[in-house]
Amino acid sequence: MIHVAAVGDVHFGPDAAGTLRPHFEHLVDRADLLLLAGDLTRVGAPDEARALAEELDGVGVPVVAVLGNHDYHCDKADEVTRILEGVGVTVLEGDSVVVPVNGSTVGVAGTKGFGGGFVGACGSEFGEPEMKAFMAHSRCLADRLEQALAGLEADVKVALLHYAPCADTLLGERLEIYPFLGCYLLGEAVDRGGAVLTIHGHAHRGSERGLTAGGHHVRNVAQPVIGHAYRLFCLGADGAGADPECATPALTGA
Amino acid sequence: MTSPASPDAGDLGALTEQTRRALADDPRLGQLDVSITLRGQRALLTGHVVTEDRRRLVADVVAEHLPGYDIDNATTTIEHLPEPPATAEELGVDR
Repeated sequence: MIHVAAVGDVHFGPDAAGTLRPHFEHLVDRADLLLLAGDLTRVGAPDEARALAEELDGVGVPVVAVLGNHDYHCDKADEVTRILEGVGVTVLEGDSVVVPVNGSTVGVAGTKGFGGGFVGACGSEFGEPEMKAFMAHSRCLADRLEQALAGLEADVKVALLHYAPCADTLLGERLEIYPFLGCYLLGEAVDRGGAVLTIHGHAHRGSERGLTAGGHHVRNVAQPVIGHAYRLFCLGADGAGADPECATPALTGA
Repeated sequence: MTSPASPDAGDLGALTEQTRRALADDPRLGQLDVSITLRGQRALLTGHVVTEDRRRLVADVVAEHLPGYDIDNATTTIEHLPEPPATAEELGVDR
């Protein structure tokens, strides 16, 4: 069994210092790895990344992250990445990492992803250069995600995104902004790449649960949606019922 | 005696968007997902912010851009998160 903790959209900054750390104290007893689904900072400023890095330093489990659109706002995404990597966080963009877990392996492929919309109401690479560039960026990131997933050699593959790969988890958001919240190309990449679980954020007013067109699990872990420091997932054998191995230690006294 | 002219829907829409943009552009906030609803002379703010300080700042910025409006700040903060969930969601997966 593989226990995955995940959260996105913490929009951290110095003003939030100390608010996450207490919730991570027992993480090592509850999860095998922690996934961060982008929008880690308020506007992508280095001091915000440093504040988050202090919360994550020494949590005791591997931490894998992607950046979100907010993390690019100050045009210092590389510095944000370096600061997080400085405390051991693996920051993915079109690449992957394999984490050994209890004699098994979980492979995580990640990208920020981008918008574009969903089947029946999506953009296309047509017309003005700006529109072509918008959709080409989305396609490029989806292609790189698919390649990263395809290249993974792991017992279980997980996709980590910021933007949504399906519309299911956007339920609650205004329909008009769906094209800015995700893209069907990401869902296709996930299905072709064989990810059994896709974690994303970005949709603060969306819903938690969805499926790709191919029937793979999608979970929106944007913190405003989950209302917790993280969600926990237990990846087990297909068709399993309640599995005692999926029980997690109580928080107190764990 | 005349009553003040009510702004038309176009004016209200523009005012709402200008204020929303101010929340996004303010480097102290970078806040994209606060909804602003204008009804009469009242502005209702909804959405999530991370800290209480940011919640207050959202109201201050909106008040600067909507002088004369009463601000009903219904944004929620998740600064005090509840304990993490006690159980994991079990996902059966093909390997």
